[in-house]
Amino acid sequence: MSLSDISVKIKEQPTGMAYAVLHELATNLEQLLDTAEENTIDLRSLPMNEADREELAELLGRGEVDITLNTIGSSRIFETAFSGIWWVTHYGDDAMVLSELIEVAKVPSLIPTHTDEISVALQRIQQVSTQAMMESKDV
Amino acid sequence: MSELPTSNSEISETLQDSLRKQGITRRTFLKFCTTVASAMALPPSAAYAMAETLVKTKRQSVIWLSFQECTGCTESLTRSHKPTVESLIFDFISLDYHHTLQAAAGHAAEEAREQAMKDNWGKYILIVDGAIPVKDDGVYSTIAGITNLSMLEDVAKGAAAIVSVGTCAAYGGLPKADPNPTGAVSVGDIIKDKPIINIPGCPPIPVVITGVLAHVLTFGIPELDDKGRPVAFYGESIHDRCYRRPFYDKGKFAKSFDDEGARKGWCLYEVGCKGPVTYNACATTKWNNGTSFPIQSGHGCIGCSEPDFWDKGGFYKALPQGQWGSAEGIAAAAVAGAAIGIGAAAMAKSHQESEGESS
Repeated sequence: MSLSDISVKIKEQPTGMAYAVLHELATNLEQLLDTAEENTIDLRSLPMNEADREELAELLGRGEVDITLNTIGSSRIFETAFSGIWWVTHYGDDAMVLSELIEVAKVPSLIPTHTDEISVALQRIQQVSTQAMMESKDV
Repeated sequence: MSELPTSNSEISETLQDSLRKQGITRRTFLKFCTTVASAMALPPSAAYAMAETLVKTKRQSVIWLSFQECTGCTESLTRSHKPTVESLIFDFISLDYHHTLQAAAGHAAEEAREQAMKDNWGKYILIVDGAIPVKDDGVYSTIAGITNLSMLEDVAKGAAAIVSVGTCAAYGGLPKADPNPTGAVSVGDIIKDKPIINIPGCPPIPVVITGVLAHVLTFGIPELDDKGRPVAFYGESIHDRCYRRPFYDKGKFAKSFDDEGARKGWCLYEVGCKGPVTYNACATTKWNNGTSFPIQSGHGCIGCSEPDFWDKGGFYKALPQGQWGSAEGIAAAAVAGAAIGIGAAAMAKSHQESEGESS
């Protein structure tokens, strides 16, 4: 059982922070368009309550891309209704939110495969391919 | 968790090589860095700088000495049911000596420590948990026949930096409590010529230990306060970030643990909460995977991350009259608390800006 299982909740009121974040996102989106500069806002660094977060989520909406990453707990990355604005939530093993970010980018930074890992993958696939060919000759 | 390195080549491999061998992907690593940066209130860009810097570094040799302690600090970091983001730090360092965690015992263990010191002289990080007894030449706690005092002085000579984990190592803690029969002191009371980072708490919060180590590995020693604590985690009091703070500001206090005020979740100041004078991240980072912290569970803060917390007059006695206790004092405290909050926010902002520049 966790705290989220307790049915009685205190209703918090939004403070208006969601609109401040929205304003910053507009500036960031403009920078992405003009100079390709990418930006990230750490939502946990802002004095937002749960109601602010819900209001921001409602204002940004959901787009068509939804990605789940499974590593040391899961991570959920989805594009909002505003193209180029991504909502990134990292969870720990017990579904606890570790960090929550909004990225303004063409592709979220966690998604592209790193060049080093492509290099390792190439070596591995060549090994598998060679081994498969040798085994097929044996048959 | 990493095993002890078996050869010098294994010690000298980069973190990137090590992660690859362990099947830890760059995405996992970046997630770790993002979590640590967020916990330390660093700007998001610092996570990428941290990831890029860390993968290129050699696995840092770490020697962990446990002296007069209960092993609670190690338990805090390691005893979770599943691998956590916090425990990933063990994959990023070369933990060359730790009584509780290492496989070697007896002479082999001490040889591992001496070898690690020789191989990494001047470069290793020394972590200490536990106080050091100095009375009667330190005979009250020994390891392999060596007094804690002698071992600390010896190992500290070759360390690049020292991290005192837990209140015992940072300030003497429980062993130092009156009448202090063993003459227990802190690391800082003995070592004067090395940078020392204090991570107090009984025990410290796991992500705080991890965050500070990751910061040391990437950006160096973090900004410290006057008690040697990283400002990112110890910059604000429990009271300033407590969710019960609005009740304090309104003068609504629980008078006992079973009265109406306690049931309604009012401020625990009058039943002894030390939140106003305790600096730590419990109210924001929380415990047990972010489940709760003592005040949220109905008990006042006992001030375990402050020096001499055992000898400050009792866990259930309200803070001294005149300092916080009178109605006027409470009103003044509310104003002072707000001022401290603003000051801490400014400090955190300045800290973030300087980190942003360095990244």
